[in-house]
Amino acid sequence: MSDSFRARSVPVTRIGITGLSQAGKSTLITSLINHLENIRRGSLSSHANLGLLVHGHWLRGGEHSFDYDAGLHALTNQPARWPASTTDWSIARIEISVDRSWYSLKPRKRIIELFDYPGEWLLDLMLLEWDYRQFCRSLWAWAAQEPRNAVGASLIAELAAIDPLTSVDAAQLAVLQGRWADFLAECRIAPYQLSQNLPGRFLLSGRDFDPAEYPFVPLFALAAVEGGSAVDFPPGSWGAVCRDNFDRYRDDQARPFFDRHFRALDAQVILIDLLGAMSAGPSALKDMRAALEGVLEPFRYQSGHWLGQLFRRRIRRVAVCATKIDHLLPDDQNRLQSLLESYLYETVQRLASASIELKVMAIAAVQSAQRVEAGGAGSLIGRDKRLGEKIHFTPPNLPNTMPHNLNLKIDELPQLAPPAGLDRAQVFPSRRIDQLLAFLLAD
Amino acid sequence: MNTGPMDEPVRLKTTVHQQGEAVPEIDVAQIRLDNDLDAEPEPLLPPQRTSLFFRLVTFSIITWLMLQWFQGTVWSWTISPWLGAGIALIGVGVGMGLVLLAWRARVASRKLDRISRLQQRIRRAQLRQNQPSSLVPDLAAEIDVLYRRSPLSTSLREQLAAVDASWSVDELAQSLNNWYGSLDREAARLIRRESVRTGIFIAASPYPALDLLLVAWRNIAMVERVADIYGLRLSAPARWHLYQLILRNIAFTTVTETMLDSVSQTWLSNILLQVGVRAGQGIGVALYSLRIGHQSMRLCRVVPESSPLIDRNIGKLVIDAVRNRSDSTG
Repeated sequence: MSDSFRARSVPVTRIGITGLSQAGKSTLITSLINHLENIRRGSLSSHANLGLLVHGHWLRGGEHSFDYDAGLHALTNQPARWPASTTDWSIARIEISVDRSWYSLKPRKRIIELFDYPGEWLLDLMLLEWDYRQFCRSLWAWAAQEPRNAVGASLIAELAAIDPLTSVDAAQLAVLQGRWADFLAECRIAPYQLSQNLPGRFLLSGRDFDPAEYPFVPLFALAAVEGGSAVDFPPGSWGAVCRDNFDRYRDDQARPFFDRHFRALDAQVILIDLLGAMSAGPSALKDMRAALEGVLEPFRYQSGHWLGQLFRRRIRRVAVCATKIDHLLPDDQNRLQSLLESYLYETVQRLASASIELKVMAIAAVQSAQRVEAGGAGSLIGRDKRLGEKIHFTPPNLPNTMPHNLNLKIDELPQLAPPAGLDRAQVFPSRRIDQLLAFLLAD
Repeated sequence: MNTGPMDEPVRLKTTVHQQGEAVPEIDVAQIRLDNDLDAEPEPLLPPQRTSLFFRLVTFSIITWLMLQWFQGTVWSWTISPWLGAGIALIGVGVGMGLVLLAWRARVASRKLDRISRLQQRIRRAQLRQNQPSSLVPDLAAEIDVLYRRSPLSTSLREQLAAVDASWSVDELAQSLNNWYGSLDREAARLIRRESVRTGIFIAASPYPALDLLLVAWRNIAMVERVADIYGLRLSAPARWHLYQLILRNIAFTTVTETMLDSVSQTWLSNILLQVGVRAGQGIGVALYSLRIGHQSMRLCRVVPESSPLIDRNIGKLVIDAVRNRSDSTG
């Protein structure tokens, strides 16, 4: 019996997993499969809500299958490295057996599908509600702020200088589109680590999308940004071409993706690299919060709105998880949880009225640091990802509360590589993966 | 462009002590052990999963037994009123005894439920900024009631005598942790000793059947003595919960025993290999015994664990002790 056939014959729980810039999606999925494969060995077996799970089995193959082998290969390699980043959507399928009921002779089966897609695509949710003018207006507001205005000063000036009413130069448009994609890529990585990078598919196009087929850039001239509906773009002008391609991108690429995949989701996990944003500074923290508010906004729409129908038809649970907490000492891991709650307080409050269970958690998919204690003081050892050397360090003590203006910056926190000695047949050391699974599989 | 004035951010500094080969190697097994020690304690009493089917069967059996007793009483009464009265009295006695046992088990289990609730209340209160002024005296009074019939009630009452509304929950927890200090040390010593002994015996024992009995006997004795140290009496459900952990330990011993048998048959001549596998089996049993002991300690304290009750180095000490002793005996 093929895996795909079996997958259709039992109930399926589909969990969307995505994350904002370098949050560790592939590592989390690899770790979740590993935990479910070793269900009776790790902390899952002792968890009150998961005690009935007796066996987990990863289903190999199938359409757009998640490459678990590649994840295992990376983590158990010598030297170990993190799995490669997500570049397209994929699905990991795990068949779990649940303890049999008193009236049944055999255990119940259930398929868990982990739907992995780039976080950049999730951000496209924001532009589904926009027309081209709103797109230009929003991006102008972002581009005017530090550090974007410094990173892309010349590009922003060039885009602002283009008159949207003049005839388009296709070659120049293609060049500008490429430069805009480069600008987004630069904003996304350290030291800036900004999250609001649109359009998402300019950064990660996936298998079926070619950005050259949809050439458009945001035009920052007054006519585009502040012209309102009174000013119309003549055919063949910069404004008209960019507007038409933006509309095609929104309607033919972004919207069908959500329409096709989000109807079937039962739960959604959004990963954020809060420590990375804290290392980048207040701008990154503010940008990430704004991005999260943008992507969680559809859950608040009323049932009459098409996005509201899409999101609230099935999704009942959303977990926002700050990853990589193993880079901190245990007390600071707890403080990070409090900081995260404070950081997302307003967003959580807004969603409280909707019938969505939202949980904010601080987790580590694979623990890469080991605690050592000397003279009563704790510190960590690990292997620096960039230098490849072992490192012994004391991470900073986090404050108990998050400043309202998010004016926090962590200096010199190393980025660690996975530990050597991981083995598929044993549960990967992790933090709170059992709690995350208990929340997602509560039914 | 609008950049806006920005305050200088609060900088949180990382201290790098050492880099390069001088830093010790990371040990994944040790990380797992640390996680085990740090893990949220399992619920004192796992949630009841009594199904309707189980209840129906129990009800039917009890009804059937009562009917049998009633019929027996009537039948014997027809033979002799004395015999009938005797059987009726025996039935009443047995019934009262069972009710008494059930009541005692319920009282003890409610005690554990109260410990669990107390731990949760203290943990929640520690996370909260604003606490009602009556919280700490209420907690102290509840702890006092919990230990009323315990041999440690006098010393606990002395410890709690100074508690008043001006105390914070953190201070109360600290004070109780101080009081528990000597008990914790005594229990940790006992657990370490028992774990090492059990591990060494398993590593050295040539009799598989004896291993199972030994693990069961030593682990059960350890759990009882830990409860004694904390002045508590374990209820039947709590005992059953801990015995389930012990059963898992026995299962581990059985599985490794089977593996060892097959290894012995295949490489019978390789004595060193046999000694190594035996030592591994002993270490596994010892570490699991350590975990059972740690769980028992957590079951018996009203304040949640703030610092590790079992020293992190004990794991290593147990491994070294079992390894050294099994080497010398091998």
